[in-house]
Amino acid sequence: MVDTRILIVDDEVEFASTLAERLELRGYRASSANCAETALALILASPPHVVILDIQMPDLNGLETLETIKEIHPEIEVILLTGYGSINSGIQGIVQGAFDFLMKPVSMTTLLKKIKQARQKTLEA
Amino acid sequence: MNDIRKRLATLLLKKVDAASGDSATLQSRYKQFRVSLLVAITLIAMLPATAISVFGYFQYLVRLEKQELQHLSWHLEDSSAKLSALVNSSLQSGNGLPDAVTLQQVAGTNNPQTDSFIVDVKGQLQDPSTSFAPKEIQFPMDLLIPGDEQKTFAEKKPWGVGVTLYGITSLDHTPWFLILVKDGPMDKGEWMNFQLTLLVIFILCFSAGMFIIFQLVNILTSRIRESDANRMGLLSDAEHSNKLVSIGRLAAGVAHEINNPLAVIDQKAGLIEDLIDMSSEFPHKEKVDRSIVGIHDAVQRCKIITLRLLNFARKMDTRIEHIDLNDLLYEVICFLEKEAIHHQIQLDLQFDRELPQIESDRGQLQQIFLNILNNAIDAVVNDGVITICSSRVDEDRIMVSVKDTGSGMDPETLKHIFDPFFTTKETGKGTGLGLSITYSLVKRLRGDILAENNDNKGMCFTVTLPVRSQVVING
Repeated sequence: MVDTRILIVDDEVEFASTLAERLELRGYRASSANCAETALALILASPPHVVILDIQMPDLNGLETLETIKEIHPEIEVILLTGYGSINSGIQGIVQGAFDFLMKPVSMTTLLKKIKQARQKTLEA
Repeated sequence: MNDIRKRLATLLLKKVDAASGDSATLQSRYKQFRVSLLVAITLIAMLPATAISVFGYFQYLVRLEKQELQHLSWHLEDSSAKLSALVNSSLQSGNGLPDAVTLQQVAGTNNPQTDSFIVDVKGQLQDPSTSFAPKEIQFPMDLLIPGDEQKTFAEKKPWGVGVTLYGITSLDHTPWFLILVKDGPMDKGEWMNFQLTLLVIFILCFSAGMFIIFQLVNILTSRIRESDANRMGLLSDAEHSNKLVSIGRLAAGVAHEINNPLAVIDQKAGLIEDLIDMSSEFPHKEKVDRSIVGIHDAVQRCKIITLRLLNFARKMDTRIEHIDLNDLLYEVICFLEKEAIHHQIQLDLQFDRELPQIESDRGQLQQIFLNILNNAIDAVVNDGVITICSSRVDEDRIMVSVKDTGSGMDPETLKHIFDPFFTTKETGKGTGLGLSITYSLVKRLRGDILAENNDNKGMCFTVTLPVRSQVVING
């Protein structure tokens, strides 16, 4: 598998870190951030290929973060994680350039498939 | 301002029409009502007044009868003496009876109301009468009991209303009698009849009038009761809806809160699973594996439960339509106008007439502004002004502001104003849900709401709403 860097952005610390760990076990280079500022800082420092972004985060509107990511590194593919109430935001996100959105709770298999597809896109770009 | 009131009235009328048929029948109904009321009042007020004055007049006349008879009696005495002397002297001088004119003059009956005759014991007229009495009068002499010096009585007129007063006396030293006739007032019997008739008419009219008024009052009060019940119904519907929305919001909040730790459990279990799969055999490996499966299942069950909760919260569907916000605000104002008038609160409306239609959910908008207005009315308590302005902010947004002249709020309290169950009212009054629901509704409609203190006095709530609803998928 090709080298893939993934950044997980979710304010639920345990969730993000565990997910990152599980991805690492599957051969990805995954790190996690718990707020938009940290995320953006990490993206600037070491841009990942795929960002998994939770858009239920309260502190900064997830879609705004998406917009910023797309501004600074448009080649990064973003997979949005939405909750029950934010499906609209998911659709909005796609309009704003996200690769796709998945509803939480997300199954590992689905997520892995999406990551593969997103990474494929970055390689084609 | 006036044409806004006119529009308000038209809208009110439209609402009433919608409830009770078309405008024409409504107008005619109110006309009938007014006419009936006037008739009833006339019957009740005018007739007794007339009756009383007529009564009074005739009462006067009846009293007069007694007086008249008395006067007649004196007149009779007086005339009798004079006439006796005259007749005697005339006879003695050999001239026969004096002529009628002289007789009348002496008797003092040379006027249209009275007449006098001299009759013999058989009642035959001795001289012709010149007044209103018929030419030949056969006087019923049996009325005069022998021995009576003088007698006066009243007799009902054979024609017309009233009585004729008669007085009869014997002329001294002559075989003749003097009869005085006078036009008298109403006789007692007639008078009683008249009274009775009048009384009956009076009672009938009064009863009819009272009956009509009673019915009208009933109709009126039942209408008022109806419209009050309607209003109460609407308000309690709104209250009920508020409660449902609050439960929904709570449920949604709980569901969201739980989903996060659930996700963590799920991931952690997954991680354990991954690690187990990667490691070689160790004691209890199978059991651990099965436990993980158990954890996953339990998590699944929790997810189903939270989904159900969230579904319940979403039962309030958002139905998007084109809405004229000014009209909607009028409707909401209609619901609360009575409340405001009752507390002597003036409503100052400053609507942008060019306000574009917006795409939004009618029910939720009504809820939002009902809550805000209710809050403003409560804040003012009595004697104040609530100013409602609508305007366009920019191409994509419109704004509605509600300013009150209440006591305002200190910055600390202001921070919590949209918190659920937060209220500054005493226990039992106010649930503390209104504004928190308003907040979530505004957010759901992709708008913004701001609460701040006015410069001079009171608070101002500003709601900003998008002109176009964005993606039309429930969520």
